[in-house]
Amino acid sequence: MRSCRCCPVFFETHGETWNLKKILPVAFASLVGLFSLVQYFVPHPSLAGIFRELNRWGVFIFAGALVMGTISLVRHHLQKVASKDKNWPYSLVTLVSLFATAGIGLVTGMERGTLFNDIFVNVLMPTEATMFSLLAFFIASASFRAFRARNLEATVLLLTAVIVMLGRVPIGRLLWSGMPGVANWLLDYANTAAKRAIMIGVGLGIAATAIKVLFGKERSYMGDDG
Amino acid sequence: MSTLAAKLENLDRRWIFLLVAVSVIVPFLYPMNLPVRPTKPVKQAFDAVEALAGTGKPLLLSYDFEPGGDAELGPVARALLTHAFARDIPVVVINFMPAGAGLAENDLKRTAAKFNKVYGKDYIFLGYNPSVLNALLLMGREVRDAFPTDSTGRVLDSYEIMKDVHSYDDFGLVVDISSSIQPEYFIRYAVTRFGAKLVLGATAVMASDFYPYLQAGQCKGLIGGMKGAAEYERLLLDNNMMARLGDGMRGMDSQSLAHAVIVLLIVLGNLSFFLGRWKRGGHHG
Repeated sequence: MRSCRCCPVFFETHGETWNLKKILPVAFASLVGLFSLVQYFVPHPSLAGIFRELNRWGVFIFAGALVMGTISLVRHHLQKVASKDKNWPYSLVTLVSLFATAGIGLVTGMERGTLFNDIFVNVLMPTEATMFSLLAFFIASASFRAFRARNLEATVLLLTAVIVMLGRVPIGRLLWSGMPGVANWLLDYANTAAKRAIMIGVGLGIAATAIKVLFGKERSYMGDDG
Repeated sequence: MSTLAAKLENLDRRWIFLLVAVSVIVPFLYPMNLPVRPTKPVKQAFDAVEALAGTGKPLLLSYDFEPGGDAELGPVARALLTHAFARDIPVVVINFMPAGAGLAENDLKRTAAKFNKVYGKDYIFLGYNPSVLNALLLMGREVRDAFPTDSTGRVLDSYEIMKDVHSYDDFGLVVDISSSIQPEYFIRYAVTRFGAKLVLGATAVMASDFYPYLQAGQCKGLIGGMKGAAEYERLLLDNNMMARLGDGMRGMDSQSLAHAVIVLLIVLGNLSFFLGRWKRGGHHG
């Protein structure tokens, strides 16, 4: 370790240069993280009070992130419109829709019977529903083109998918009365066993990453590869 | 034989799209009324709501889906609201997805009107909170910390329904209907940390993710997609809480036929694959 008097470099260790810009966020994240962990096991009212305040801040920060996202969206599309980029009219539609909907919502409110609600029910709902329903067409096309019994594993997957797909809808029982039972067995046992294994693995991974974040070893949340 | 394989291999995908469209639309025009039998996870969800009747404890319903998921999850939410209102169970609705607030507002008011329920006394909508994690932790001690006002901006204490409601302990049941990751947070924080009793509603594709929680008892019931909604509606009909078919049961014929069409396409695709392989094998041989 070597200390350095000239600002902003604070010290160097293991080939890494640390300054206040790097130390403060890491220290703050570690402190808040450790506190959140400790208060989970210590039900003292004073800790609960601090934890409550931290969570209230969390809500404000998330709300702030929404504002940042909106600003970023507007800037991105304004630039596209200003420079007449490819497909710039779509950006214009986005901006007009954004400001018109938000403006109408602020003026009329959002309750049933307002213009904002009419826009929501008659424009946004059908549009999003249409986008989502397109999945059915793509899945059907993909199932025809790609879902092939090329080997044993693919065959097992294919048969399982067919049984669950038919067993989960009323027509499955009409085709074979045992179909729903087999489908439910697959969901209750095969699916659950596999999911549990994945969840335990993910849980251990989360715990390991959390420990690295708490001790400042994992700093990718700061845009730092180290 | 080889001509059939070639024809299948080169089938224009617009024919597939047409087949899917017909299989979805026709059952709405000519219903087949296929029988729907409730499965165990849905019965468990129904029983959990039924157990609230007469206790006076409200049901906390989290509306965590947006218009894209409304076709699947809207019927789930409306079936639950119908059940609660039919049994005079107070309902408190919250929401963690921005566009879900509009859905909640519309479904809540429409269903409440059918049962002559009064806002603030029989039901309330607390609005949208941007941070599910922080809000769920705050609600473990005081709902007002996460939702200081309802969606109209009035403080919660001015409503009769919220008089003695402060934390999960005061809710008889928590229901999260979600097309996203929120159920994981409900399990981790509302259930594990604060001991809330939880029922989940999820899209059919996500429902399988929650079976481990169902088996472990961390979630008391599971309503998976439109099929789950149809099963729930069947239970409501059987218990005289619903006068006619709901959206879930109406959609079941379409879903059945669409699934059958997809299975048929898989069979045809594999037929073309094996015919093609057999033909290539013959040439090599």
